[in-house]
Amino acid sequence: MAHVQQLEGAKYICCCGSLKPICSIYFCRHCLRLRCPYCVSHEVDSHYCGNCSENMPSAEAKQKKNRCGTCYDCPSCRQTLTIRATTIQIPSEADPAKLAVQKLYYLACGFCRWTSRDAGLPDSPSTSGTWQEPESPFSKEIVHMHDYLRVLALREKNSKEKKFVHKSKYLAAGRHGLAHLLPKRYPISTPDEMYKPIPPPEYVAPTKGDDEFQELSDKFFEEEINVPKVTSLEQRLHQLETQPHETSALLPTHKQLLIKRSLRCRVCERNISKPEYSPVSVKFKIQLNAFYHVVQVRMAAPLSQPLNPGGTATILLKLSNPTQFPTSIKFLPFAFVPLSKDDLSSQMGALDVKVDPARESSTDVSLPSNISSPSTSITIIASPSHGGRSALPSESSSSSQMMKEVHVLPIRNEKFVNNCRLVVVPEAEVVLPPKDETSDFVDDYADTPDFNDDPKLVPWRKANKATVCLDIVRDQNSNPEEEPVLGITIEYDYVNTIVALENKSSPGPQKVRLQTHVLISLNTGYIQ
Amino acid sequence: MPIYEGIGIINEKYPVVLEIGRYLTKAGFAGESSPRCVIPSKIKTKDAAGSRRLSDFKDSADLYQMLVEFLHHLYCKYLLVTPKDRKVVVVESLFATTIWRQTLAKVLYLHYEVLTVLWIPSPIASVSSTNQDTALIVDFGSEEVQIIPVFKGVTILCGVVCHELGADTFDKELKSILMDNCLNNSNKEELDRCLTPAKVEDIRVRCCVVTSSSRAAQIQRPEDITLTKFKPFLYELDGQNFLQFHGIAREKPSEVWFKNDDRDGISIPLMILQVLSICPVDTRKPLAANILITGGTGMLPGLRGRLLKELKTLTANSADTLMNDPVLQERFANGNYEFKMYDPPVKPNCMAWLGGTLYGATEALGLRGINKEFFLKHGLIPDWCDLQFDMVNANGSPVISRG
Ligand SMILES: [Zn+2]
Ligand SMILES: [Zn+2]
Ligand SMILES: [Zn+2]
Ligand SMILES: [Zn+2]
Repeated sequence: MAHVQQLEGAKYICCCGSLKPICSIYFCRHCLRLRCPYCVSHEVDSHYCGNCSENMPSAEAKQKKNRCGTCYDCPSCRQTLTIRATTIQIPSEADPAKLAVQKLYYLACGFCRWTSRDAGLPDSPSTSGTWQEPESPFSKEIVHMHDYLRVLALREKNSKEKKFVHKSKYLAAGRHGLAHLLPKRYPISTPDEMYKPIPPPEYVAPTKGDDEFQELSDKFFEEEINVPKVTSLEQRLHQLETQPHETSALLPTHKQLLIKRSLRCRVCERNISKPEYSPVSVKFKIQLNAFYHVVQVRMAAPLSQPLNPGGTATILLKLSNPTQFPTSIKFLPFAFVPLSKDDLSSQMGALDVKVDPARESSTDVSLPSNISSPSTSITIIASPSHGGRSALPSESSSSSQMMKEVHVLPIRNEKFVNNCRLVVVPEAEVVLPPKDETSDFVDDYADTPDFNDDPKLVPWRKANKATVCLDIVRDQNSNPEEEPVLGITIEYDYVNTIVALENKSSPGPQKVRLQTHVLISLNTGYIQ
Repeated sequence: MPIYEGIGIINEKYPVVLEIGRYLTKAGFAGESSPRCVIPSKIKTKDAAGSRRLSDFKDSADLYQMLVEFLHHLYCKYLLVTPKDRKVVVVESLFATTIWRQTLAKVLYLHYEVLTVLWIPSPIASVSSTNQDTALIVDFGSEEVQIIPVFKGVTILCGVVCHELGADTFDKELKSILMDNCLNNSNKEELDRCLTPAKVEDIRVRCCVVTSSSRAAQIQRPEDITLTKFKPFLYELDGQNFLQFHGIAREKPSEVWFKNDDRDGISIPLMILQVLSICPVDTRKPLAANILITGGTGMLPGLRGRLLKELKTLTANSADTLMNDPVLQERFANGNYEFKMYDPPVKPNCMAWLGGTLYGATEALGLRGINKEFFLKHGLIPDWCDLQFDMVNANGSPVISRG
């Protein structure tokens, strides 16, 4: 679909400054702002096995080290192992003189032909057979070390809580400022505690001399090396418990689980994407993809000829309204201002003032020179010219929201090229009716109501879609190497139903005016 | 299962232990005995190369984006936990650059909103995974071999010696030897094309060994290099094509570590003696008796035995190999030193990571970790090379003494 709709050709600018095609950007219905995978927080929603599609509760997944209880991976090539059955004849229980058939199971890889027999594992009488798994030969010693360090750390903590000992002087003596990180064998504490001996550790790594660590013997070199029998680095790193040197020591490992992720808006801390729990379902409980909420803009037809610096062209843009409510679209000169932590204060003070041109030049954005309206980085604007509509949120709440965004959003501010602009900003707005799920199947033009369109601006429309015709000019001084990119800001109506749902006292859905900034690549190629 | 049961409260969030190396990254959870994953420190890219190493960053903004992407991959594909509000232990190189540390800190505290990060220098971490506090660490990295003395938990920084003898140098040497010693293909251009860095690495991991000193002497004499002594081996390129190499390619590359006659002293045994001679006299014998090999390249078969043997030969009473350096000669060529090596509970490539996991499971994380508030307030994390952190306050947390 991305290819058919040329989604890469039109990139939406997220609040954090990421450029994304509409299908990979989100729209927070509470903040009424665009969000993208970069600036939302990702959370683990559920664990499941990609092979058997079984869910595993998080607590169990943690206990099983994020591994599926039934599926195994091939230790040799990481494909999923299959269970094979084989039969043997054993003396029957009822009559030892007769032979009975017993089924035995083993694991086999259909790809590289590794089997659990290669590892010397006996066949199992049950399909869920427990095949030996790799385990660190020193796990007991490591547990001792954990215990010992915990005792030390606990003592240090206790001694710290008694605050009367002057430790600062002593610790500063720890050389090179590493003092706060050193393992303090004998933490300084109260005098009586200081003399209390710490029990010696149960395990310390032994040291060995050259009598035990010997050079490779001549015998070692008499044998020819068989390279396929030595494990590769990858195989070793997939069996970290033992990191075997010979392939015969490779053991099957349980398959690692996968996760479903949910996304949360960092500003309002509400979910913007939450998958259904079932691993086999590809649906979502919450999915606030911008594709369903934001007016979609794309090129309706490629340019007829290359657009050189200084040149003009007429382009056709296709607009579509994905929402259940009519919207009215107005084109504006590109007015995106990136969020920046550095000049937060100046931005806050200068909300209604023209953006400082010096700062603009530093962000690699070539803004059109004829900015007529004050441009702020806020896309929600109170628009007095549409008096009949409720213009929410108010100016003050939107500035506080911006303040919050600057604090909690990770700012990316990707570099982009914007070298074209509109010759004339069309006065008229383009009204788009709501999306009707059935309209795609009805091929009837008679139904289309008359919107009194200027045929020069809107040459075509059907259902919730329309094409607009815009004259653009490419900046004279733009780099001819770069492809032409039109930066444009569109202002549209959005009906916020979530307010009515959450707030009973609210009179109903609120209609707000929103702005979105889009970069449209005019060549058929993509914006790099 | 080797999950550490002592902290088995089901709702407790195990801290994540990260060791982001130049070549490989190890990640897992505190309290466990081995990492959950060891993956290349790379991110995928859309260009022809397909991937980019984290260490190839252009500037801090570039590194920031790469780390965000890399950690996202790590958390979502391997660790499978939500990064937010979870503690992290970072095992870092002693010589991590400031730009690297600061950027990693920014990514962890600001982008992933972790609560507390405990920053442990890898030598301290490696030593603690022996449960002792003294070791002469010989770290075989991808670029360098670093020798770092740690005595009673204190890193003797002035004694650290590094040389470019890491995996990269080894692979370069190995490749040139392979090119000269292929038995079934003499077309150099074709060989050069077949022996990609990945293949050379694979040959190092699977075929190379550290040979014995007597055979090393034979390698020096061309008349002794015969196919009966150095058995050839077959290496599979792609199922149909095999390359056959002279057996010397298995043993000769590792000799880069043992060139004792080199005036610059870039042999590992000599580096060890150099380090010992810089260290205070009281620490020399304990350090010599507690050599600890860390790093993935240090896992070649035969390395430990050969290193001990070389050290013994160099310091034997009658030794004359140290003649080039009269100071070393006087201090060590007396047979008074006994060299011993640790037999640690994990493989050398996981030593430092294990130290991190040991710390991460204790109260030390809360006591010595740098929390988000500290980072937000000061905008930086303490560093041993920054003198403003030389003070420690009564709570054990660092204080900024100036600025
Ligand atoms: Zn974003
Ligand atoms: Zn499964
Ligand atoms: Zn396989
Ligand atoms: Zn939100």
